[in-house]
Amino acid sequence: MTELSYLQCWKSGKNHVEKLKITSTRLQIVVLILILLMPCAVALNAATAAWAELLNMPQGIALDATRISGISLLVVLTLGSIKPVVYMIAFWFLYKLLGLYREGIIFTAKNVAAIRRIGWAVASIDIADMLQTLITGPILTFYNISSGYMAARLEVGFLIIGLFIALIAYVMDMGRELKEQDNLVI
Amino acid sequence: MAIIVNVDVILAKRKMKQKDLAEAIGITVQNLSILKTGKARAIRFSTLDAICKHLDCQPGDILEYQPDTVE
Repeated sequence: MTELSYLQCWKSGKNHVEKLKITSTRLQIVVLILILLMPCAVALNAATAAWAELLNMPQGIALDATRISGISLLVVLTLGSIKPVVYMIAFWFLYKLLGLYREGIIFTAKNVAAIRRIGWAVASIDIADMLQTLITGPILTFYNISSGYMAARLEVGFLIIGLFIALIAYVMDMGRELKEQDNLVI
Repeated sequence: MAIIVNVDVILAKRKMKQKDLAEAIGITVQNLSILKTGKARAIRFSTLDAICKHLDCQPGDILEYQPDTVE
């Protein structure tokens, strides 16, 4: 990074790319912390036996925690990790995008691909949530951890946001093409 | 493309270097090279004006139309 501090850079009105580089570097650290916090959250839930929270179970469903051991523990942890893994993937793509910005790569095909991947990953959060809710009941019942239940949930918030991000990536791709054409106007 | 850019011919006649022309008209050597090699999509009137001014020539000396040969 440059010898100018963040504040000095903003105050001096240094060019926008330099500001973006500094901001991206800082955001990358934040995103990396968030990525690392995801498995920690799963581990913390498992350590405190907060299985209902981990499995995102509907309220009022009884769960026999004494039966969670060995293979069933592995299954419960896998089920509970579905959503955090999708979050981690989305954050990882964001981390990569910020890495491109940090290198000063802004309007390229790589950026478009990275934004598009973020969009699909964010949209997948709701799909993962739906899948997790749907399969948790039968699997817990199979391992006798819970009395037979089956739940379904339909959330579309992240789906809409994800599709919107994918749309932005598409528009950005068009902008990139225009920029490339403009570069050939002398 | 049917439009041929003859900047290099005029440059040779004027015994001028590409770098000097680029500096004089305020574009990069890379952009002048894009223009010379015919990769450019378009040329701004301001660029054409500057080239003609510094090379003391007409737009027709720089740009030439050659019809594509169709067999």
